[in-house]
Amino acid sequence: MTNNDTLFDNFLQETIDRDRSLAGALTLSFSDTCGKIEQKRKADMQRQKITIRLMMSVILAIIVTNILIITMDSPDTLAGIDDNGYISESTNYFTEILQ
Amino acid sequence: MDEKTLVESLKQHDPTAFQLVYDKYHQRLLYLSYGIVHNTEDAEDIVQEVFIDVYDAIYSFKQESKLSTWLHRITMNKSYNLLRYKRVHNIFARMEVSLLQKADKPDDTEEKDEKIEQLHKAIAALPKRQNMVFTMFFYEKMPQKEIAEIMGVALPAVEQLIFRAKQNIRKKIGTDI
Repeated sequence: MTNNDTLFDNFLQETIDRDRSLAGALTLSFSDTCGKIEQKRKADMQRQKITIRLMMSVILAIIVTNILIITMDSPDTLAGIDDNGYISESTNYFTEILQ
Repeated sequence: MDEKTLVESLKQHDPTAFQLVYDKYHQRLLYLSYGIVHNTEDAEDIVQEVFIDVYDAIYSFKQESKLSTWLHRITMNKSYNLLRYKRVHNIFARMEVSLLQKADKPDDTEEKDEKIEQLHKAIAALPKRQNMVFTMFFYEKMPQKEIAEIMGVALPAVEQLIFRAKQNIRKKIGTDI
């Protein structure tokens, strides 16, 4: 082992010891970590609530759109004023179905 | 409490089991994380995140390895992810900070800090496997047998990786210590 090897080993060990003492002085408390977990849990719940609300809004919007489409497509709504200016005979879609 | 019971208790989110694991491993993981990121705040954040992940994802731990192995792998992955993120996003910010720090320091400590900084860079530049082994062996003072278990390699391979890591660091920082 040369003098340089020893110097290198000493320097390496010295630096690692210094780093270890820095890391050893870190104060990471258990309660802090638990607090963070609680925060994350609450944030997750909030996110879940928002997602559920968003999904419900989307479902509701789809239902409303479908109802509107059905209503607009029904002969009742299509009935209007004909080419001669007469109000065309309104057909009750649901009555027709029932008949 | 044996490890199987401990893991089962963790899966039930038992606070006593969680504290047991925390008390047993948090300091070791801090050494490990610090050995990779070389920043006290980052090391603290990483270890805290590791325990949050343990709390959240313990159900996915199948006990095919030891709990300590699992914890070490999570810590190393998080540390390397942070390093990667920092390399990409903070290059300019870090340059600015280091310039400001250097400007404030007296000459004698400046030279020593430069050497330490050089060593940290050389450790960070090691190939991943060498870096992992080096950090666990020197920073965490982990026995080589345990390192072999975590890395999934034979004991002589660990010895070889430590040897190569030291050689590479030596090459990087030169002989002028």
